[in-house]
Amino acid sequence: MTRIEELSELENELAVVPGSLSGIRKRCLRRVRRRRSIILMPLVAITVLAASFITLSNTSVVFAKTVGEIPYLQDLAAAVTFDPGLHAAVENKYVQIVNLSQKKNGVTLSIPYIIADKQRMVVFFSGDGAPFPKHQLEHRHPSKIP
Amino acid sequence: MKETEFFTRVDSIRERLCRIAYGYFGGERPAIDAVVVDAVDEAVYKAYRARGRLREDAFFETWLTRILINVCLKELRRNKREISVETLPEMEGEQYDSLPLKEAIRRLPEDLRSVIILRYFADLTLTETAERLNIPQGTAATRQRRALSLLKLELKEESV
Repeated sequence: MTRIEELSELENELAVVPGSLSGIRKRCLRRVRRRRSIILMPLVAITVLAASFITLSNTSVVFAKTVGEIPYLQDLAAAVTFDPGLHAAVENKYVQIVNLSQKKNGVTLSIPYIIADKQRMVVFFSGDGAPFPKHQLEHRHPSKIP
Repeated sequence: MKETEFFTRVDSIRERLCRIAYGYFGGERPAIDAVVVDAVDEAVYKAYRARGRLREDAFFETWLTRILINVCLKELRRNKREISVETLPEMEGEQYDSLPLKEAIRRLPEDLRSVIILRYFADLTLTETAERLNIPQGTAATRQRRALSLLKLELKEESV
């Protein structure tokens, strides 16, 4: 076979297009989508983990206590925990019902209950009535409150 | 460039891209078809992701052809099938002559082989070949002459 015949044979061979060539677009876009999901997957996983950590820290006393004992996690837990101790106190009905209420200048302040231990006291309160301008509030030292 | 336009342009040159990849990989069909289609796929995917960086749409084919050439060369190096210019033992004209045409083309130094592939596999003119390879037209002509001489392929040389 001469070189010209070989070239002609090669040209004939090249004229046949592989059938799978027509799916370029489909394969390319599928690969793009796969790449996007690969990038998004860790973000979703991290978000789910963070959400679980925050939820558990605020709903499970056992989890909050356990995490609180782990050196590096305790700071993180403290940052995302609203107040597990308080939460537990309310859940276990460790509250003192006082049902106090006083009306002054059209505003009613109610204190339904308090929670107190050796270190702190939490007063639950609510107010209703006409809007009360802040500058009219009286500031008194606790010792001067009758 | 928008996605629709990108793929319309790809479709218009996909067969040429395929022939270029055949030129680089050599081998027998249909065994080599999958490798060739994979290389074209890879080049199109890379181009799709980088399409925002193409400054002028007029250079689309040149740009995509260069991407494909790089993909093919990278794949050949990865498979250690590449015989680079540096490592290619000096072959005499008679040695090329003794090989089948496809194998002889595959054994050509890379710079000569690229010219042959673009000219005779992709059916590009000498001007287009020079443009795709980013070389002066005179250089492309010299390489073509040298390659045809080594392959003992007596073809009418087109000036452009």
